[in-house]
Amino acid sequence: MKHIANPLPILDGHEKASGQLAFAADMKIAGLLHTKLVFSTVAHARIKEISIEKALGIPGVAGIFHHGNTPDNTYNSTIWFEDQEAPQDEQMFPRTVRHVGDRVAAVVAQTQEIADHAAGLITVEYEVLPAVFDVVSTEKTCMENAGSDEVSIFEKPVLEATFDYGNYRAAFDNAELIVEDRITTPKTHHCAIENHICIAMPQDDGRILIMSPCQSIFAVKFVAAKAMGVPASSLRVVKTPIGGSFGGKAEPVLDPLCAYFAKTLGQPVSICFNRNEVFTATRTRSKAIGHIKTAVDQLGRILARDSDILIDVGAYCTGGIFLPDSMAQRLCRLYDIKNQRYRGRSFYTNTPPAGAYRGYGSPQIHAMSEINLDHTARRLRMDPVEFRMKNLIHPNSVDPVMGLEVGNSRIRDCVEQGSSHFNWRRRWSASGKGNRFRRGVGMACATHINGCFPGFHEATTVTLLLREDGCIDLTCALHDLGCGSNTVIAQIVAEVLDILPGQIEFSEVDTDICDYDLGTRASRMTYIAGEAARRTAMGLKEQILLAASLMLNCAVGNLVMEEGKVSGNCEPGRCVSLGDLALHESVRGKLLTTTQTYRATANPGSYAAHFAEVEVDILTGAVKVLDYLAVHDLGRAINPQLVESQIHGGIQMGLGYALFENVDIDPDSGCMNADRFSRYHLVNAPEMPPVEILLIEKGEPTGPYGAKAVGEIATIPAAPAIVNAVNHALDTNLTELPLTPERIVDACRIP
Amino acid sequence: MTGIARTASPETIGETSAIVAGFTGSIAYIAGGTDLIIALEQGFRPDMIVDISRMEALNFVEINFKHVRIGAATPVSALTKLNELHKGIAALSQAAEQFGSAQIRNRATLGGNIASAKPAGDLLPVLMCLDCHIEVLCRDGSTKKLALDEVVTDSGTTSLDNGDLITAINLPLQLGDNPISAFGKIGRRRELTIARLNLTVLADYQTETSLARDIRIVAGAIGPVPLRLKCVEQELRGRKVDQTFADDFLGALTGAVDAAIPGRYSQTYKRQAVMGLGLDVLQSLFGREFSLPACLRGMT
Repeated sequence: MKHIANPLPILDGHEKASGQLAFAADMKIAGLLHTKLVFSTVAHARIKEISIEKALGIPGVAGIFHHGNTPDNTYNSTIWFEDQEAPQDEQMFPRTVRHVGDRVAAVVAQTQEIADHAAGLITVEYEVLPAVFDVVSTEKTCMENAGSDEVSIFEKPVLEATFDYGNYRAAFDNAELIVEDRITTPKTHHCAIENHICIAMPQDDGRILIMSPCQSIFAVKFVAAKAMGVPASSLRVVKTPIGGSFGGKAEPVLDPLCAYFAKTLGQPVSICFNRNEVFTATRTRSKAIGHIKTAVDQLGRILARDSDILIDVGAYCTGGIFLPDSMAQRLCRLYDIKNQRYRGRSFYTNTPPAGAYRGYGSPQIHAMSEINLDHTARRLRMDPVEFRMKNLIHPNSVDPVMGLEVGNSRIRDCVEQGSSHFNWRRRWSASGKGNRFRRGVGMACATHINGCFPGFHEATTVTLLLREDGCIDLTCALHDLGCGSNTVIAQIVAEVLDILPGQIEFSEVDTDICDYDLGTRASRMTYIAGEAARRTAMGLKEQILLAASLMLNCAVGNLVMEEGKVSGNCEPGRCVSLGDLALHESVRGKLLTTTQTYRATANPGSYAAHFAEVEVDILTGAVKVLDYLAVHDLGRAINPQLVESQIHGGIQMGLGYALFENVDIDPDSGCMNADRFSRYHLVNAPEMPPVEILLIEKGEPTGPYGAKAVGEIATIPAAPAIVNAVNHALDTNLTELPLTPERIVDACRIP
Repeated sequence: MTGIARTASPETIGETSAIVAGFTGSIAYIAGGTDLIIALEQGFRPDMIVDISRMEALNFVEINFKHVRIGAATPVSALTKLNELHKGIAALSQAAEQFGSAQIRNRATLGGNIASAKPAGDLLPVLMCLDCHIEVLCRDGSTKKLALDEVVTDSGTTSLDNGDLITAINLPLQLGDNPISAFGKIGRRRELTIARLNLTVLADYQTETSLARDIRIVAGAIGPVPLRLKCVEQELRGRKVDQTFADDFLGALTGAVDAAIPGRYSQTYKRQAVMGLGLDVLQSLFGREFSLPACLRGMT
């Protein structure tokens, strides 16, 4: 192996670090108009009147848009193919606003300053309606409304998913110990460095070109077409370099508006959100409340589990239809539980909408189940590692709900090797009592998916073309969100063809050029797109060898492809470089190119176990994470450096989820209290513990070179590991995330 | 940026006076800009912005046995080493060290922290505790000297008139023979964090007898302006520094929090957290360990 397992720096790293890469906000476009949105200041209201006259009178204002002069098509921004079914509850500018930060109007003007100024002159008269900010209230109302046809979709559950296997009732009846918890996870925000932005402009051919940092150009195309009420063929979408997303840019929020403004005004238009707008008017991670009940015997075998989850999707459904199912999927791929019941329900509230966010339900459900399992271990007076080892699944298990094989799942190796490496037993036994600063250790396990199989269109199409300079053009709708997926794919292609990763040139991600693709979601880049690239490269290699065999007059079996050339052993010294071979073929009217579509046939689990040691100040409630070990079963690390970066970033995010992050919706007004970085606290560098990483590389048969995903799972076990460590340190059972100093001090209250 | 009619960038006090003397519109001074730039982004529009960052006469530290005098445009990062010169102002250095981030410390200035008058401004309680005098240059060219509580009157509000420029801060170092001081704060994070509570203690400490002959205590972020805790001072003044001293100190701090923010949501948190902060500050001040407060010793 030359390029697999090579810690290659990210391919566009230098361009980014030196500021040469142009992000959407850097693009200079002649005649570009700028936009300022007017947002709802109330959580739920019918708009009685919008007064725009003053704003219209400002010189430089090109147009003002609101519900009275824009299409009222309903849509759902979560879809990624044209006829995908999803509740259609969003509108460009709804007549009834549903959360503080909902869209009321937009001013498009020659400069941002004019747009800002004019937007400030628009006045809105609301007829305020009752608003609900907590999902428990919505659930209650929905139950009361059940059966009534009179209520709107917002007063009904978004979706309910259930499963029930074995005989959980009998198991609970006979259990020696049942441990029950109510665990809540907060509404959090992605905080990508690049704010949301979109540019749209009319093309000469009459179509509208949309350029935006997105996770799927096809999702943008279909969502915008639906919202605008135009054929998707009248739109073209090009992805711009993306400055981080974490799911926040998976759903096109600005694109439909921007494209409509450009089409109406016949001029290029941009919408560029500021940080505050990104917080309040894009997407969040859904808040969830879980009741988890686990039945065990005295030996620590899990007999049964019952999970009932309420999911707060906020004001619009978006991906809320998927959350109950995706949470369910994660619950039956980690522990061998013979009897299990699950009910997951998502409901609306008048808060900013939830959407995709790294892990898509996994951080919530694993936080709940892992905190409850630790509680169970405490009640059993059993080492939580020992308890988990009695119950974790073995490789090649089949999940009892979907019937899918989990693949070469190495979670047991993660826990075994991790606990030994971390000196778990010794640290766990050491008691931190008697001091102001209490030490504790915690650990948590997690699993996550690899792609959408067996769901919608889980396939990727890659085209490779050998150029006359020996480089390879790779055409595919690959959306590298900044974590280096393109680098990994270049390494895979380079490995097959024995060229350098830098010799692979990626096409524009453009709906005019690329075949349909789901985009970057569901941890599918390395496992699906990587395998598609590997197979296509194998196909190209075959063609190259066939052409070289004719040119060198040597049987394919006697050819060697090495370091950018093909040599044969028929005539010693005779060889041809890949570039010359391409030239040789092209003058004969042939291109060395192949297009292949890879359809996934499996969805193995990625696995991880995280271990943390914390020190808690019982007086101030401050938690210091002293030490951290992340053990990941990822089949094989194509690029260990990028894997490490993903894990470090995942831990940073998970620590925030455990200790700091919460957008904090005001229970009276529905306003977001933590709508800026001075109030929304991310884990910063001084707060990070030393992190050690251990990789379990035992190969996944269906993954490219044995690889599976790490991007999303990296963050999933972090929060429960920290919470479990704090509970170990304090001998408490804190279950409401984040564990703020107030909550910790409450638990250590001076009598 | 639209709507700023005038800007000026004087290099001397004289030039500044000449610029502002006849100007009748609103004047904002900018030094580091760590607060003003944000205010401008949010729509604040003074009629004139005067950049004082190039005035060397505002960027200095003078120190002798009797006092320390610091130029108003001295960056916070320049204050972090002052404790090496005089332990009486160790609190100022400690506060400077924990101020914002490295980038903010390099830009933000002592005078700016006073003029912004933020309830959580970390330097303000220290300046009050050290009994500072603030030198102000008025628009008509006259000067005045004011105490901190005469300048900072409410959250975000000062008594300064339009065009008044803070030029220097005087710290008298006059608390007895052996003034020592310490500062501590509680934020959400260890660095780049706004204080939820901070505490400054200045003591005249007789090492041989372990007596705190005099003591001044100021808390920040429990009210719109820094709060001098005179009742805590009274209880401790002249006492021997031992575990009972620490217990009484922490108990009195809790009482002071209860009195300052009764019924406030944060009261239940801060009344306990202030003990942790108090312990940290005591240990830093006297260079020795103290045990958990008596009321906590039973719960372990």
